[in-house]
Amino acid sequence: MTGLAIAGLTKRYGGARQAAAVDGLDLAIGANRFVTLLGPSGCGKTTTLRLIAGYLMPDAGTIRAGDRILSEPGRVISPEFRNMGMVFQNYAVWPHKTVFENVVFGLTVRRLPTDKARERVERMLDLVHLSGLGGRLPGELSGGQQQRVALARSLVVEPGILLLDEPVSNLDARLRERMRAELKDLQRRTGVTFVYVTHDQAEALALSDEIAVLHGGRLQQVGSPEEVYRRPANRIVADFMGLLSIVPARVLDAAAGEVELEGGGRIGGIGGIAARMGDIVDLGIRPEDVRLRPPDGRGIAAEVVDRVYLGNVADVHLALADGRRLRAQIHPLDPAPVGARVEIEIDVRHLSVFTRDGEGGAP
Amino acid sequence: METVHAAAGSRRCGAGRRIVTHAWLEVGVTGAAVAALVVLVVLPIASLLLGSLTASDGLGLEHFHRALSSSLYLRPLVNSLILGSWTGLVSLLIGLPIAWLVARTDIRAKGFIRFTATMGYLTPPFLTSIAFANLFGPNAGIVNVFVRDMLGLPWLAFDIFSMSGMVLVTTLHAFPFVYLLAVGALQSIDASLEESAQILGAGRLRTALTITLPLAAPAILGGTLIAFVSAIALFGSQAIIGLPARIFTLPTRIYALFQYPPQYGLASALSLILVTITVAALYLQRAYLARRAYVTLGGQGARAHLVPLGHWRWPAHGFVLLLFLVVVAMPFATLLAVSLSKPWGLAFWQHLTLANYRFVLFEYDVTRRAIANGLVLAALAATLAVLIGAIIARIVQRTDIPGRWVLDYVSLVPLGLPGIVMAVAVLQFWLATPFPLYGTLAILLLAYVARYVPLGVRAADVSLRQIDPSLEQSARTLGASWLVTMREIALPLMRPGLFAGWLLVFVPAIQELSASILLFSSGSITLAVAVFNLYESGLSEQACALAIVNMAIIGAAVAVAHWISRGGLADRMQAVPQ
Repeated sequence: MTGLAIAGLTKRYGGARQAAAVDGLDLAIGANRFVTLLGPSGCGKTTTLRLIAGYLMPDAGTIRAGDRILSEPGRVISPEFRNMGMVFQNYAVWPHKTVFENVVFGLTVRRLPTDKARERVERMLDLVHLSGLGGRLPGELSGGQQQRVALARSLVVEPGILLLDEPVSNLDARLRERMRAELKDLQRRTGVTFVYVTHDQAEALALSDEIAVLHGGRLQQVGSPEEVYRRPANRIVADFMGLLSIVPARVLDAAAGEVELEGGGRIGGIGGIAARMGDIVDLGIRPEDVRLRPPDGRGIAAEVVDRVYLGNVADVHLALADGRRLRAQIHPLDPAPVGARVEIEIDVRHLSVFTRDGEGGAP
Repeated sequence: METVHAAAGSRRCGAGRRIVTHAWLEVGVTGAAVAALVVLVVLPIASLLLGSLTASDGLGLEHFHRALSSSLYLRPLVNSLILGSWTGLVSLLIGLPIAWLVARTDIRAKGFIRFTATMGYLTPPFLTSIAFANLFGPNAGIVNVFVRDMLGLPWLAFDIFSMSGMVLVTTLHAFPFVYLLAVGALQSIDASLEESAQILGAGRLRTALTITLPLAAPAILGGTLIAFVSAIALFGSQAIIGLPARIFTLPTRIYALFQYPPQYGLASALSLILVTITVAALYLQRAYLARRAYVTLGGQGARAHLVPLGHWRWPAHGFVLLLFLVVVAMPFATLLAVSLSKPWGLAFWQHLTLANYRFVLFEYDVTRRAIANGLVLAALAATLAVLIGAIIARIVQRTDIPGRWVLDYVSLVPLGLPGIVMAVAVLQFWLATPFPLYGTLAILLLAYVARYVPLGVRAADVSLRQIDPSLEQSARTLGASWLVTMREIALPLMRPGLFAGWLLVFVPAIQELSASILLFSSGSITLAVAVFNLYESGLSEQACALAIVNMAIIGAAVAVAHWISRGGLADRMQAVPQ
């Protein structure tokens, strides 16, 4: 249906001296895709969303849909003419209108005949599991139900693009998981392009066809969830996508992928190290790639300094020979008491190698 | 384990002892507050009720029957309703647009609009009435003299002594209620509610009509009802404007009933009819607001779209300037000019003099006494109202004493009593007791404290809410007694709020006329009564000089309040029927 092409998008709040909230963003959002803008608070993701919606005017750059320019400096097509939908973090369900009145609003604005509008609203309420609640006021609904009203209200007008601003962050953990599944399902069934903003990497991984990681107003990486997680473009992305321990190492042989940890111990078989022999690089090691075994002198020596029971896994904090910390996740039944001396083995398939000039590399 | 248990046990015992002493103190303080409320509010209202039902032969509805069958009393009832309705409507037509300008547009005169509204609220309506009578009196009002004699356009003359004149003067005081409530509501509506409508295809006008207006409606309606209530409760403007035009309203009719052999029964019946109207309106406002207060739902409503006015800013500025002229500039300039003139008239500037000030400040013992009485009464009333208010607010918020909601409720009752009704009630009650309070400052003080206790409760309530109970609890946990906790933690934290509350009572108390007019004697005459009497005896110039003195005192108090709360005064302004 509709895709978007964002080019050079820049937005500053306050004067031109102010740091840009969004800085030279280039992003193509394919039609019928589920695209997530991911980043910590203040990274510019919500600003980007509001620029796409047309609530803000860019200071530079354009937003296009096909060959139609939606936004450029000095000329922004008003939100009401963009055929988009938006779901806000606080749902923004109108408290003075019933569920039915909320959902039918966009259809009334579009002058749909009453009986046809009623039929579409009923169908949409059914789709979001709210049938029979059309006469309720939002004050009588739970948070999750209000969330569904907001979704139904946006989807019933069949928008080309649906924008979602942290829509499940106000729900409790259980409900959040269920809404996630429903959102994914809704997107598949309606075929509407979803642009989803969140700071929760697990949510982004679970939902998206494509993730755009933002930081400091700049786009860091775009890719499928697996690409972004397994091959982070730089340290910022790697750090944001889940737990990561940084361990410095010296390159012994770039071609063979062999490095030596600063505190002793070698790792071999790392692919694609963009550094020369003798250079110091940082290894980004994910806890699930660290395995523990009893010491036999062949692995890297470490000591268990802390162990946190998390139910499905145990989070183990290790100290290497030089005192550097490394985290590992092991099966909760595996023995590794605090104080135990162990050796570790690292699965290099997920290993990220960052050179000291800030650029990243992956196997 | 044993020792731990023992220690915990002994500590529990200690806490138990402390709770007992604490409870005694609390019972004492609570008892005092309850007793004060009973004497100040409950008993006077009870004797009002009783008085209205006392017929020639025992109890009966005789007085109500007379009040509702004779046009002598029905006409004032109708006039009061007409005055209230028109004032409510015109206040809406002025207050809502300027609220919208402040909350939702990029107009730059926002501070100016706020100032104008605050001044309208703070200026005693009877002073505005005196000013406008000097401008638009049918014979001597200088604007009328000017258009009739100098321009030769008699049809341009406006007679202030009319219902429209009364509505005009009252509205200048009442529109800030609509403005304040509307501006609060418009500012707190979350922008996302409107943005949702916009992205669904609704234009600006449609969004305003279907989303913004319905969401703000309860507040706007509430403000209009408060404007209505305060309009019908005001005595001064209705006497100064209405009586020369022979337009009687309920307050002026009640006043008249005390002129000849006082007719307490009938006055009580009329008072209760007046109270019925005000209480019904306030109840409607509260019930409606409580049930449909959506505005709080949005939460983080900091973001709001500011509509660029473009060329519309010129008519907007014109409207604001006109409002300022009528609300602030005209009354104050007139009062000042009259107070400085020998005889007031078109050529007043040829004979400017300070003699009127010398007269009211130094020569005339009645006005000197009135100034002193006014200051003492207002200061005492403010102190007592805030003290009682603080105790009541504490009991309601921080204890679980059963029935404490009754206390809260009773303390709010005076909000529904027009000043003159409070005077009738207090008078009835104390005349029936053996205490010879009539004509003393004490009876005025009792009436003032009763009238302004709601303000004290509100101020204490607000400042208590800002202090987390955990602050006091941690002091108690560390072993501090209730008294020490109060002295070291609670009172210091509440002090700024209580002082602001004190000034909020002081300002209306120094200009109190509606109740004082029935309760004063030559020895206990107050500032506002002296202004009123001077004007009524034809000493307009001297009355205006005293009015300026009155305004100077109010101005000083407000300046202090403003300085302390840094502009928070407007938020604390509360609706009190005069």
